[in-house]
Amino acid sequence: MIYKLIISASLFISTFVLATSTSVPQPVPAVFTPTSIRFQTIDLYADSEDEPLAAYQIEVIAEFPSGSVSLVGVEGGDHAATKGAFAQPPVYDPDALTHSRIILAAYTSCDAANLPIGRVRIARLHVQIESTAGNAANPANDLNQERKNITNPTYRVRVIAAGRADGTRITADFEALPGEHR
Amino acid sequence: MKRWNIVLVSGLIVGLFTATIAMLLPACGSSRGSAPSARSTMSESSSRPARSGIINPNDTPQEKSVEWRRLHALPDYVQNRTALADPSCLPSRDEELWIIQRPGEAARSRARAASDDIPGGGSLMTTTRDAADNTDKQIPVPLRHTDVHGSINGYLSSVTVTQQFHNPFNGKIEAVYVFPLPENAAVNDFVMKVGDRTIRGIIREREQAEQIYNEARSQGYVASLLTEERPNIFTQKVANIEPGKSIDIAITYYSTLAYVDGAYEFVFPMVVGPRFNPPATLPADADSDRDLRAGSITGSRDGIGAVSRGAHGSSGQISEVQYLRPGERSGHDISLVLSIDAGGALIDNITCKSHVIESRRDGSRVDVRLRPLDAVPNKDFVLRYSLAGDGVRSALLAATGERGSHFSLMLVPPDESKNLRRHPLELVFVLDCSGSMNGEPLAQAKRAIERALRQLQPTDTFQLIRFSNNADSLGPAPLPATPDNIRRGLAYLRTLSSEGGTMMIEGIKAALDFPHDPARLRFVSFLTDGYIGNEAEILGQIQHRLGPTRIFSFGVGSSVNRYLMDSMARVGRGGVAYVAQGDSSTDIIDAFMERISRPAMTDLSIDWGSLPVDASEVFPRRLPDLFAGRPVVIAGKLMNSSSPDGAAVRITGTINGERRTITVPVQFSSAHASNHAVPTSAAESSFALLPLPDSSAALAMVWARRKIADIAEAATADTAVNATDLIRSLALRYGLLSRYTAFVAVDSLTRTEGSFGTSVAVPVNMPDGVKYETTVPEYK
Repeated sequence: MIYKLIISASLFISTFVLATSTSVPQPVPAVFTPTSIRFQTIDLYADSEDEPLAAYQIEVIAEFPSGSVSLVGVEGGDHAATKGAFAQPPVYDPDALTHSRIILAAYTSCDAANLPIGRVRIARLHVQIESTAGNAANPANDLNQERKNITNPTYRVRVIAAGRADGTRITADFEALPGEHR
Repeated sequence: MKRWNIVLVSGLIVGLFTATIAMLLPACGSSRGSAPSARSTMSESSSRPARSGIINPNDTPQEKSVEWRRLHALPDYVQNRTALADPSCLPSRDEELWIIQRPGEAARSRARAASDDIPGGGSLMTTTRDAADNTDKQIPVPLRHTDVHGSINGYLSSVTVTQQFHNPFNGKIEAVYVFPLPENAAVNDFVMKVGDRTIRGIIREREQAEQIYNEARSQGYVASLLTEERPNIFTQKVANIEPGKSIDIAITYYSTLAYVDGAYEFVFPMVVGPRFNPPATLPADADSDRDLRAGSITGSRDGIGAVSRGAHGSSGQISEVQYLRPGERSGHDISLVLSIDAGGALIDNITCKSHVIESRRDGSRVDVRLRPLDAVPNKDFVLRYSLAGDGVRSALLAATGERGSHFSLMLVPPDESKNLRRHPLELVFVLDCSGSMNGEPLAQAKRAIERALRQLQPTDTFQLIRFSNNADSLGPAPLPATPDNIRRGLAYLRTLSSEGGTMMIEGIKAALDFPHDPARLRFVSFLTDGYIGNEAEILGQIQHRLGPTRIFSFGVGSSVNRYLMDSMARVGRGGVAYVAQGDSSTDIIDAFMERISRPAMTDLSIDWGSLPVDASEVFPRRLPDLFAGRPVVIAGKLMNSSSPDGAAVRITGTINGERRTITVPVQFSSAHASNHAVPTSAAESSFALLPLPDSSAALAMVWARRKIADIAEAATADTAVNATDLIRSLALRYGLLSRYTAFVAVDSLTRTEGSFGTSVAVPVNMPDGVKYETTVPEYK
């Protein structure tokens, strides 16, 4: 009888303690982890309609009120669509970077017959996005609040010049869109 | 009642035990989940598994007698100097490897444990000499090949160095490689190739670039970082190289060629020599060569440490070079192709004593290729060529590009100085007798001094100083060059041997503090490999103590610290010469004696005429003296791009008390090559950024690099100069690598799985002719 009581008491206490311990808040599964720094690709498209595009110089402007966007790499465009003309990375202006501006330029010496026409991806940017508002407004590590604060920057392109192989200017539209992520 | 007490107590004990276990379980789980550094982050859509195995001081149990370190289990090989680990015994990549470290090992691994960022943490290497048959074995390293493609036009060169990194291991790695480039290299392009994709790196402030790289690395992105440790020493890091994958890094730089004794000289260094880092203050018992060389007792960590392969952190320096031991060999090799265009002049007499080359001539152009049999990167590549005809003349080349108008002026000494009378000389030879000079370098240096002593005339004076851990000399003051004194000097020279550290500062003080006889021209000649890590201190002391002395530095060896030697000559207002393995040191000293025996053109001033030169932007600021056979290159900037026809500059100086003038015509380079498809004149202003294949970019970069060097040299003598801000600002504007800027590239398209793996340093060959045993400390 006594042994039964001992066993019963032990089991009762153990069960009680285990139940209590498992009710302690556990780490949330990493479905979403708050972050202040992330990386993203930006695809740059040019649409010169029927004109063969041989050179361009543009400024890419990122708007991101709740943080900053830093250029961390410049890649060439779609090799097949540009017929290899803009496969190599464009050059950037380091002096402009010191003023937080991204100015890119590229040219090709391909034959006019091999120049891209229409809408093609002419470059890809790699950027680091640093959110500042999320951290400041989120001292309690509230994931939902963090999710709301981290928004994507928006990008636009200012065309400085676009040209044919002979150097004459043409009209072309440029667009910057967040790229794919593998 | 007593039984009930027993029942209750027993129940409580069992319950508490169970509760304790229950509470510990989630704690352990939480610890694993939070093991990554505080900066580890994930993107919104990512639910990657938490990384494990990163050393975290918070979850590292420590005891008094043993120190525990948790390492990530990745490799085929485990750090073990003597035995190849059985791969079947190794944990899988998801498991952790715990190593008990004994107290005696704690001190030398302190730097290792301090930061994951320090290269080489965790080694994937194993020793490779087979004791049974005494044969060499290759070591797998993350750098497979270096490819060098150079193009020379006039005396400007453009060189692209491609480093082919790969991962031969079965876990992800970060490759770290410390390598040399010419000290005047203006590095302005950096490209990372991942598969068939090419990403151009971005110039950033160094701290910012390092933060971006570290963040990308911790988030699993392929990234690369290029930093400068010295003007001729650089560190390349490549993160998240997956097993079996390759990543190429291409670095492009511009530089000017030296013109030495009638020939242009193209130099490409292939390995960093083992540096000695003098301690700032020596404790009384700090007389061990090993400790001195290791730098483990120095208060400064700004040197370049020399350590054996796998001994990361033992030097105590932030930057380290790991050296292969005798008998070890890596698969890393090098190829080099050079295209020389003399601009219409015929290239004459191409020689390369350092390597075996093959050349092909096509009119005024010559292509040079390194023979594959000479592909071990363990010495400087030195190519010399001359031009047919009367040799070079002074010339000024100017060009206008997107960064304004820049020029380069090569000043060639007038021939007439060869016919002028000889002045009495006061010669002080300072010989480096440290361990790295052991063997042929010291023998070459002694032959050179002996030759010089035998050429002295009775009106000359001389003195000999040796230094290693300390300095001593033949006597307290310069001796008349009498036959008896020459014999004394030669006898003293024969007694000298090499051992110990390179306390060059002692040699500098001893040589420059001698009383000077104003009736004689005083020359101090340093004969050394320059393997020190405190270059700034040396240059500062020279500037403070120089006085009327002129310094001629002689770099002795196959991979000399040319940054130090060239800088010493520049701030010492003298010259520099190099004696490589196989060179005749007597020929080189003969040329030196001939040079210093003739009066130099001094007190130079330049009348720029109608050329709109910005006098505040001409470098070097202090014009050097012109010695026979040694032209100097001056870089400058124009206030506008006007190019007046027939413009010329006039250089006036004093030779033997008489004023002489050299007139130099101005050549304005066309801004754009004629065969270029894009832009025509109508569009030039619109496409100002385009990298046109002309000399304007080269001249701009060479000018900016020269200005950076000038600022840095000024700062060694005057700490009030705010070199950091000046250099950083200039380097960012011109997109140049510097001590305070860095190139970073991130491939944000793809995120690799798992942790960023282990840092693996690329161990390098000991420079040809340098003995491992006398230069690299081995901890037993």
